Amino acid sequence: MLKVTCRSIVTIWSFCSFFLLLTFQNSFGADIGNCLLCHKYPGLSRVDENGKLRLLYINEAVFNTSMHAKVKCEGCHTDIQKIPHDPAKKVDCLTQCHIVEPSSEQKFSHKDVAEFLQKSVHSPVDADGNPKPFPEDFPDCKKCHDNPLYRPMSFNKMMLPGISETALGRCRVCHKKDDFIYQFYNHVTTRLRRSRNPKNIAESCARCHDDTKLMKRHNLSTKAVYSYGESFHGKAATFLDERIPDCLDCHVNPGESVHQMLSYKNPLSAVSLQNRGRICATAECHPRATPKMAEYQVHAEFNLNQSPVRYYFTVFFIALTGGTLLPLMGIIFLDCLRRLFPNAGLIQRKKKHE
Amino acid sequence: MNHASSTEQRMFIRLNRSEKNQHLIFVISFIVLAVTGFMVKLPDELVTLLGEHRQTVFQYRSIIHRLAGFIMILASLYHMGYLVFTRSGRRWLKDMLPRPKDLTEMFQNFMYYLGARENPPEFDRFCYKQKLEYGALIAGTALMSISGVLLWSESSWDKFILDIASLVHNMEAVLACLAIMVWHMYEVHLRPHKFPLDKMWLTGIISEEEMQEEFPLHYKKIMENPELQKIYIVDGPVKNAETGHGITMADVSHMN
Repeated sequence: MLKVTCRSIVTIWSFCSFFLLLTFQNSFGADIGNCLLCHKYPGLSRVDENGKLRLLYINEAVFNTSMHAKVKCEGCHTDIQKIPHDPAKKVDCLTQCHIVEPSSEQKFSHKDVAEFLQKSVHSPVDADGNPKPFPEDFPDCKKCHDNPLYRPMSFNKMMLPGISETALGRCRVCHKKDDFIYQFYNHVTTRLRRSRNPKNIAESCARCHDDTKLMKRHNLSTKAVYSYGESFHGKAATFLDERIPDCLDCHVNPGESVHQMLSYKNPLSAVSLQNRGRICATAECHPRATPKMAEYQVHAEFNLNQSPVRYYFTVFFIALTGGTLLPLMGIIFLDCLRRLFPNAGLIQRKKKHE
Repeated sequence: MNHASSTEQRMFIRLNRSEKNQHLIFVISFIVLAVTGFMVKLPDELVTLLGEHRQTVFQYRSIIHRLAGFIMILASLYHMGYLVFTRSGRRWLKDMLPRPKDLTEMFQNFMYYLGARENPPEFDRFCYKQKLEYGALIAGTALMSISGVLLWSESSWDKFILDIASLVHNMEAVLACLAIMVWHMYEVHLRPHKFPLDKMWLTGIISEEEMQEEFPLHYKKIMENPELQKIYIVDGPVKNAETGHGITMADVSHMN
């Protein structure tokens, strides 16, 4: 009898596991508070105090493939205690959520990242703690980040992008919960590379660094991302090539958090005059590059003060192109005119006296 | 000399076989280089139309661009050897060298265009326009080749040199393409009496009438010198079936 009961339980468990596996995409989220009861409706929105339309719809399928899928809604929206709730406050990314960081077994928060950011060139305060001019221009977490989607890599003989079922089979040897396996696979393989491609990263930096007014306020050269886009690296980024360097590859020291980006004037910065020669010559990029390769302005623009040689070369070629083509077009016009109207003439010919 | 009879039109050689082939290789490599080069300047919106193939397309683009550049450099080196080591090449170089007379002809030609002169100047084998264009071609090819090789071997150079090479390569490419599209195409194919296509670049020969009109001095020199007649008048390789002499206009149109 006991044997039969055990077999029935195993059978039911197997069916349930199989069913769970099939409906995995929908079982990924952490909507314990049943927030999607309302937020699942696409039209859900409101006009805020500033007259801005706020879209409050959450696409469950998309959210479930994002990096915050396992964080319950109340983990970030800590001010919401009841349903229906009052207008929610802005999310503070430094809030401790219920996720436990496995190596330290401490509750997770982005506090360390904020500390890195505080010491970086993007901090609104200087090294002495005094506010920099125009502190509102400096980015906070949400200026650069949204809720990135998982972009798992396949290790199945490099055949297909995404989750490798073969690799999952190896995970299942030791780990029993498919929920955990999928989550872990997604997380680890997504974090082995950047969550965005070089084009997205450049676009993210461009929000400020191609803003002429904002850059002028901080005495920086304008359109740094535009000049990146004009380079071969930038062109390859446009073609969604992920092997080429983006802003972060050059502006962050290898092995450091991207939030530790320092000013090029700081000797510890990856792009300081002393260090920038080493950037190109890494084994992954141009191993045979001489240290001098990057010692010229990478973001040189058509600007006399910034790059006089480049400026004069450009002016020379513009003059050469105009100076060549305009006279040629003049000759073409006159030649055409003479052939089509042989008797016409701008200067009167002297009549021959017989 | 067995030349055509007075009722027939003689055909004159403008480009010999080697020159024709050199020009053809140059034309093909130039077009490939222009297309694959300016693909880099396409707006993002157009590039995205290639969808997921864009990376592959642009990977092949760079390989084809380098290959065409390599062929053009080889063709240029061959042309330099041709100018130095062959008799016809040395003759080409001698006729192509600029002379003070070119300035006079340029002035006279302008006066003719403006209606102040009844006839255009009498040009020799190469007129001042062709000499200018040939000079521009040599300078342009040298600039593009040097800057292209610098960019190809990027790891060996300072960023400063690469930036200048990139700038020169880009701007000279624009100038060269515009010069070819506007100037060369007009001079060779689009002039009212040649429109829509002058087949000389394929056949290498022009009619006596055209020779008299466009290069009258060269024509006179040929007609006065039996040695030049051997070189420039079609006599041996293509013969008229009926007369056994130089081919006629009817033969040329039949050939084409």
